[in-house]
Amino acid sequence: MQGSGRLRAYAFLFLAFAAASMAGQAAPAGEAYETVLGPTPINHTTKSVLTGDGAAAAVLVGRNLKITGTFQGMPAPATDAHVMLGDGIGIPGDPILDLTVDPADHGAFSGSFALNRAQVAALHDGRLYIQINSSKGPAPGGNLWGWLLPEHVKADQNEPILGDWYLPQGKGLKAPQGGRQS
Amino acid sequence: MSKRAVAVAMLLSTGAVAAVNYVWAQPASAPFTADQATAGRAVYVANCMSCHQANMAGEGDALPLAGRTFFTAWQNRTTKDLYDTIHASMPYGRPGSLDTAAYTNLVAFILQSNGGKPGAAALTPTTATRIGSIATGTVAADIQRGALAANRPPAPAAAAGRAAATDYGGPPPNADNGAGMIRSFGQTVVGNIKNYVPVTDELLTHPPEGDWLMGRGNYEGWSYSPLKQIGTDNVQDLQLQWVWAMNEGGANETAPLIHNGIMFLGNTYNTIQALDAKTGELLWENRVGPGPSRPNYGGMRSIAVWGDKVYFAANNAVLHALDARTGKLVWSTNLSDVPGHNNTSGVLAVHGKIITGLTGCGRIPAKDHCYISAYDAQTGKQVWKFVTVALTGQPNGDSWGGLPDEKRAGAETWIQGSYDPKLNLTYWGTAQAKPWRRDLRGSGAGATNYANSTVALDADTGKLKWFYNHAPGESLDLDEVFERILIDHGDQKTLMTTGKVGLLWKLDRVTGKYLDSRETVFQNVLASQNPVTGEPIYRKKILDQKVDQWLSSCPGPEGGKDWQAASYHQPTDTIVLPLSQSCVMMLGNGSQTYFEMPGTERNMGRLSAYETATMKPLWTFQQRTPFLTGVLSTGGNLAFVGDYDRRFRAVNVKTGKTLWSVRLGTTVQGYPVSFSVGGRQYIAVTTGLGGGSPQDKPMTMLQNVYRPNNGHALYVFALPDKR
Repeated sequence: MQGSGRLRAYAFLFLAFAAASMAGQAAPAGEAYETVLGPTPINHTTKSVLTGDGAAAAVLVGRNLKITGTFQGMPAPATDAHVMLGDGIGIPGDPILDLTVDPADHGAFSGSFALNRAQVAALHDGRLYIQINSSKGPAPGGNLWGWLLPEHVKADQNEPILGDWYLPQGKGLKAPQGGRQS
Repeated sequence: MSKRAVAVAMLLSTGAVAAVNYVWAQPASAPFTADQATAGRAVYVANCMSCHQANMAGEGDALPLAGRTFFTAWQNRTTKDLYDTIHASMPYGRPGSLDTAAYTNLVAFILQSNGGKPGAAALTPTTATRIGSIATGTVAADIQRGALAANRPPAPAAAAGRAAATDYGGPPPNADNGAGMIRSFGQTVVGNIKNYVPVTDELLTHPPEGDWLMGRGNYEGWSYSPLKQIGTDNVQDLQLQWVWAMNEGGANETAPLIHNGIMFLGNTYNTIQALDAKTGELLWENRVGPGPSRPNYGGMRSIAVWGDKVYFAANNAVLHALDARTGKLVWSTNLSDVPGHNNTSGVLAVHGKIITGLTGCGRIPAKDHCYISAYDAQTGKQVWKFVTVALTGQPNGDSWGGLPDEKRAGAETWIQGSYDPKLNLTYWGTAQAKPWRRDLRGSGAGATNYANSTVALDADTGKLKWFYNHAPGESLDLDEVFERILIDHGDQKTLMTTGKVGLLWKLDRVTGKYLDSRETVFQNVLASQNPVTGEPIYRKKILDQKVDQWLSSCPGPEGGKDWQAASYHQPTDTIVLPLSQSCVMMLGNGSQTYFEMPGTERNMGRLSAYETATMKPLWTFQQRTPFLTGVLSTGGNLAFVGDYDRRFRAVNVKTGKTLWSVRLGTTVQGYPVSFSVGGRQYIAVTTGLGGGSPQDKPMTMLQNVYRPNNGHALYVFALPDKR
């Protein structure tokens, strides 16, 4: 899947998840998060082994976090999936919550959790990410991962964003509260 | 799962993951034979030594293959892991291209070079013996002395310059992967260009609209052409006019120059060609040489014209002057005699002087340091030299944590500088100190001036006017060496540049004072920044990095911004930046694994525009593959850029909307330019391989994107000729 076609597919996934998560209930007045899953770190040797992609949407209502997502193209069935907590965006860490995942090379995953205060803060800081492990990946190192970040407008090559745009680090380096990662 | 488990998993991810039967062998039963090691020695010399060095200590991205660092990284992994890793990634640029026996023998040689004793059993690709059980990490004395260098193949005859005793020895061994390889050197076609007009200082200061007289188009480094025949209303009619196949091998990142209808092209293998810019007819060719010192390396990023000569710095650090009319060699001057020193920055002609940089200064002990230097354009005699490392006892010499001078390495200048004629200052960026990890470097919290800095030098004397260090004490291989763009806002004279971290910097170019900066991609390297001085503060774990710990860095060594130059579109005060988005997990020994940057939807390429007066973002878009050319903007309100996936496109400089695109033979790489001949505007761009981290890292990460591993060429486009 290439370029804008792939982005359209991800956008469709986000919409589908959002619709599914809200089916049969009033639209929650929550904070929307999302991620696109890609391979965990690869090199020349592992790039042919750690394959696949996916997407997830998450909604935080109060301290209740609901996550739904799908994945595909993994080299082997998923073994487990987790919400992970790291020191910062793009900085891996440890699992803190278990997701339910289809034991296949493609499928769905989900989970609903009551977060504690620190976990909510971590979500706000971008320190939570989703990781799916597979039986061919170098478990427990994972197969796919993606950081949960606020829902944002995507800059597609066919539709450039005019004006300001989203960068995950949010407020700038020179902000008075600088020092975003330990 | 603990962090240790994650770290172990990362480690495993660098090796094979298939199930194997581990054999915890004893030293007495090393699983390779002496014959294998002997054969592997020849394989190493032919395929590995040019990057990993004759003493196997490695250099730059080429990791050590013998010694303590190698052993620390590999002692708990198996011979099969080592075989699989080498097979999957090497030789550089053509992984998997050797036969099974060659790879097996190479592993045997590496084991022997690390203290392994050969035995009776032959090594096979599936032998999985723990390396720590059969090797010691103690390097044989002859290997330490670089004895392998004696096995280097003889150099073919090349033009005047450094002797073959240096690291450069002509074409890389086994460089026989197709047509287009240069096998002999010297002038092949002598020219007789009668209508050549000497290039004056006035022409260089105020370039004619239809010429492209220096790498970035003008002294200010704008990469901007005022030509407007091709505009937003007709760019969709662009057609290919002619194409010129270029030499395969080496790194193709060139910027052709055009003067009065003549194109001067810096081809790979240090070949210079003159072409009729309208028709593509060859006018002269001089294969000065030598060939690349290592595969896919040695891009000649800029050449120069001044008076009646064409100037270029060959990759082996020899400056040459050719007669612009005939292509004949006029003079050659060694920039350095130190093994390892080389040149990829290219040259800049200023007031009868040829100014150039130097790279490959990372070896320790440092026999000499990197410098920017200027040469008399008529004679080749050195006029001045500015050493980019502050040495003991010199101003700023106390910024290296007390290191002896022989351990102060790096600060290379591998990108062409810019020049302000009114201030008579030339501005250059420098690379990071070496080793780039601060704990290995031993410089403590020292800023390591003048590494990763902007230096402003008097163009007549080379004296330092001011410097600004963009990354004091850098530790992640994140250069700040790239182009310096000079922009005026009323009376305010500014300099803008962007480094691998992705900060777009604005400095006062008269004083060097920090004015502003802006993050252009996601980064987790810096925790904060002094709002007054601009000094960046690193994430604490980067400062505390240990050799056995994996560390995340976004961006990784691909850089948020790299050598692909930005363009300044003067009519709209817009700077257009070709950006890359990837991250790295890095182990202290240099091992790296890569992942996609968070928040990018798996897009490695980003093109963004900012208004320079206000630093206000104007537009951006992302795509799966990164951009591998600089940006060219034009008076027709267009910005041209090419990418890894062979696409060359024109976007509206005011909106970022793509208005025209075409797919070329392979990765579009280099610096697009625009020129006119006979009243007709042309756009020229090259395709190329090599290109260092901006091309290497995507090659690993783009699992389903394929492009040919050949296809160096120059493409020239124009609107249909309606006359």
